[in-house]
Amino acid sequence: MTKFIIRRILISIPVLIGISFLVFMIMQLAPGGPMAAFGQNPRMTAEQRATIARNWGLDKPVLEQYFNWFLAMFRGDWGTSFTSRQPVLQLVMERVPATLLLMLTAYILQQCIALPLGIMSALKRYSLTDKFFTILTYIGFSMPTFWLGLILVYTFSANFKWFPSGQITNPRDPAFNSASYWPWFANNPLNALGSLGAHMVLPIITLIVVNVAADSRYMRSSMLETINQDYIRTARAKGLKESTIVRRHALRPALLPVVTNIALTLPALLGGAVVTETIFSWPGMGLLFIDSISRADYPVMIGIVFLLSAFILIFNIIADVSYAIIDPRIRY
Amino acid sequence: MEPLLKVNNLKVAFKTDGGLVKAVNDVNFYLNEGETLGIVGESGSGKSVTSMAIMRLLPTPPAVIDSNSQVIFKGQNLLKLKDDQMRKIRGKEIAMIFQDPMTSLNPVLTIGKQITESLKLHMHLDDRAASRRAIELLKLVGIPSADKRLGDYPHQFSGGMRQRVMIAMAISCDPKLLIADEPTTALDVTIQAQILELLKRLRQELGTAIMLITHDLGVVAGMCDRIQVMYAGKIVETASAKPLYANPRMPYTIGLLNSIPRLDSEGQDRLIPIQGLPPDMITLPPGCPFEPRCAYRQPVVCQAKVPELREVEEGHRAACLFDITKETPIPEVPAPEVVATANDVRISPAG
Repeated sequence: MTKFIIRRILISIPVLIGISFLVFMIMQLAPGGPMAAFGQNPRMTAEQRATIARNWGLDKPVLEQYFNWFLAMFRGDWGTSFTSRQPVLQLVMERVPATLLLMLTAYILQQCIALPLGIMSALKRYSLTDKFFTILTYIGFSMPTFWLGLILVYTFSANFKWFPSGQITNPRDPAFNSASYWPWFANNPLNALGSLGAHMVLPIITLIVVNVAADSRYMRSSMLETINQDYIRTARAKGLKESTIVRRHALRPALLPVVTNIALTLPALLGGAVVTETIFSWPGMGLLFIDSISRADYPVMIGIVFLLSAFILIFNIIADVSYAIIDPRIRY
Repeated sequence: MEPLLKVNNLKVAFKTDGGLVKAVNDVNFYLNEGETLGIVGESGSGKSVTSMAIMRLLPTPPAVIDSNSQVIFKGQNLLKLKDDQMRKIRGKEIAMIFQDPMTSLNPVLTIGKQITESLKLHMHLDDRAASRRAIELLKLVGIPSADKRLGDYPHQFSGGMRQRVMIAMAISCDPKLLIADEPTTALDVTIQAQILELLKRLRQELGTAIMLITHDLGVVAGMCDRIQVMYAGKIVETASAKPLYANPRMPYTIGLLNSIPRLDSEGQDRLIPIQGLPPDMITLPPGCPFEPRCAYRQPVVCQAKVPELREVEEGHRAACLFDITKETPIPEVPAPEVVATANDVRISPAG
């Protein structure tokens, strides 16, 4: 197993390099190129632009630019934002905690709801409960995220004023993850946690509705298939209790086809948060990404895309490994 | 002496979109302690459904068991037991071996775990005692280096070895009755013989009663004390093994025996197949269900009345209105070949 994990990680290194190359080249193909941010500035002369290009190495051949960028990134220098003049790595890392907080919570909640829901629906197939959740999941599945987010804000924030409409902290409290935030957090932990929770409710609902609907359907069909297998009949013939049969005999085989899906939803959540973070002005990576695109801030864009690709790669490895853990027939 | 198992008026039907499939129609039989009973019939004759009904493993719905049916095991009607009482019988008193050992073992659990779980459940053994017993059982069913194989998964065993594991699981709690539902069908011929040998040996060593379900008359021949033949959800002939083979009295059994090649046959007799297909189990004919395929049929009589099982000689009963034996000449006009129409081919439960 250890050997397999090590090999799997080693194989992913060239993949990561390939990804970095593709990401860099795709960015070059975008209209305007890296100099777009300065192209529209009427007060900038052609000479000034040439100077900037020379200073940042943008006049060199694309391949050379790529190698320079790659080597620098390897050393931890992800470049400097065109607009805020801050190092990209620092910019991104400042945003990571907010995104992780939202996404991990959403992710855990999502699995905790979707998997039991799917299993229950499968075990009570065609019952009233199953039919009820089937209808509910179809509604949830067909709900566009941006629309759902806006409706939630309109209803629960604008009308009922139950939850804040956006941001991660109240306006008068210190900004999240700023220098003064954590001391303030330590002094008023209940207050701070309550505020965080209240701010998270609407974005989390927005994020998980579609995923819960989809995942519970996957789980349901997988469980249905498993529960009709011959070895479940064998388990029944042994005189085991139905709950033991589900827990010991059906759960693991039923999880197999679902595992890939479970492992790959987290990176999808991280990347797909762009819409949700924008609707709720959540100060995470998604919002930073949208901002960097609208400002043609190339170094930040590349940095975030690369980070997300790396995430997806890591979770692919996790999916493969958990597959091997659950199913003894799989040995690499 | 009261028999170990007595099945009275067992009727099982399945609700389907096409109508009620009457899989088992009024089946009566008994099984004594330590006895081996063979149940023979083609696919869809209701033999598996009968065994699943005894174990109450049929999902209801779609299965419907008639309320007058009785399965009396050691004096109590299993069909009337509460679920938790029935669970104490399954695996402990009555155990079952299934047809396909490739799919009947859980692929993600070690065989040690799968054997010990019934030991822990029914015999209340602790981990260590259960493992010791599991090793004994594996040795008993002839698995080499049994102690090293407890931690292996089913995919690390061959088909025959897996069936041995299934048997070890089934006999683990010393059941009074072992139901073997086509235990050799999925295995190749040499392995079939080994598994049958194993069952014979275990029967002698443990004294377990065995109900052996198969579509293969050859399998039950050397193994069973009594044999009953099923057709269209009914028992159509029942006798001790010898008389049944020597002197079959039901045209269906005669047909089955004629379609088996014999080592001692003289010359180059051609095998005689039974023409046609079993009846549609949704709309059973009012007369003898075998009539359309019967070589000795007399349509006017046979289509009017369902023949009941009747004694043709001592301990030998057959469901035919006529006294037919192997020597009865087949009438000059052969039975017309029944052409299968789309209506005849309906989905019916396996068995």
